[in-house]
Amino acid sequence: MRVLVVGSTPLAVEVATALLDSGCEVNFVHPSEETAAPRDEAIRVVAGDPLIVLEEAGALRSDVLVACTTSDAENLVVSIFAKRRFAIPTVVARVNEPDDEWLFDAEWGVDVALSVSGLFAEAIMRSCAAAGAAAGALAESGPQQVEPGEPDAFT
Amino acid sequence: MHVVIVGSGRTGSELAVRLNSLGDDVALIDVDRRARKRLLPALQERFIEGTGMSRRVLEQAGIAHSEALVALTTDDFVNAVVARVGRDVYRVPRVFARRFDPAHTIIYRELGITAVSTVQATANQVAQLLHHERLEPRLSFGNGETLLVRSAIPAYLAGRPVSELSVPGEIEVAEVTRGGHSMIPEPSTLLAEHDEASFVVAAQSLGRLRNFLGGRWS
Repeated sequence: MRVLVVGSTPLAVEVATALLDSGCEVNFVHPSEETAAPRDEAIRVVAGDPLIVLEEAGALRSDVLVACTTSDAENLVVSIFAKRRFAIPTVVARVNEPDDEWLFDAEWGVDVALSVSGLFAEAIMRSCAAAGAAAGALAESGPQQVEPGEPDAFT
Repeated sequence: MHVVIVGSGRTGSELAVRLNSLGDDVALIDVDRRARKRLLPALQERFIEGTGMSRRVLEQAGIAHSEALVALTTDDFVNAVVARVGRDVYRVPRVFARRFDPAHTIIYRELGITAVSTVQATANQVAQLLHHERLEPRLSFGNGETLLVRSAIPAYLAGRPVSELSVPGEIEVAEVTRGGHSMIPEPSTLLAEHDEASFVVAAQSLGRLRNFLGGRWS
């Protein structure tokens, strides 16, 4: 599978490296020279304004595009270009500001919207739910079951 | 007319002052809360802190019943997104966006948004002043890419057809005034001494037109 990652963050670099490790062919568009680019030589890095270098970076033959810059507006514009001009089948976009999430839909060419804070919040909710379930199980079996001297029983 | 302005910097606040004095009802949006203090007292209460991409902020600014939306932030991506949201989501009838980087023309073209380019307008204006000082455009279109200019026809062009001054895509003769009477010429219309003509000309073809006219401008 061919994946094109557009990004200027450590997260984008991490995503590109993980995709490479899982067997994808990865191209990386690097909009700003001030930020980190992947160091792995197997990832082809194209520097420049994403809208101008998308084609050079292989947009026409990519199966997936990941728009992962720190600007929601830039991610949206890159996504709609990816879909309209290059017909990339799957467009994944990063949402930075929860307030902007309502825009990340098919109107902007986005197939999958991933909000970092949303995913983090969900993970916390899951942890809380798991802790709650554990606490509930403990409560059902009665407090006498918690043996004294083990205050860390459900952490 | 209710106008929403996204980006309350120098241009946004200046525009708000003008529209306000014309009787328009203006709402200003800016991420920087300090922008409020730079506004006239009458406009300060029309200021909303936030981004123009936020549904809450746009709706608080009255986007749903606005007749115009102007995106004037310093970020071309934000301007393009705000303008498209205004047009497609809120059906604002008139939408304009500022463009900083001429390389970003493709964004506005792809999304079908009318862009106002400060950078290109200034560059065209200064080039105009440096090279065609005596030629004052009567009208300028877009960001100064196309101009309407007027000039006397030099004696050596008398008796020549208008078509000789026309260069498709660059220069067209829009009108000829002869003896106080203006007419729209046909390609075969012959020019006469003392004629004045108006030309629709591409900014980059001004030098060519000047050469046609022997460097003489009225």
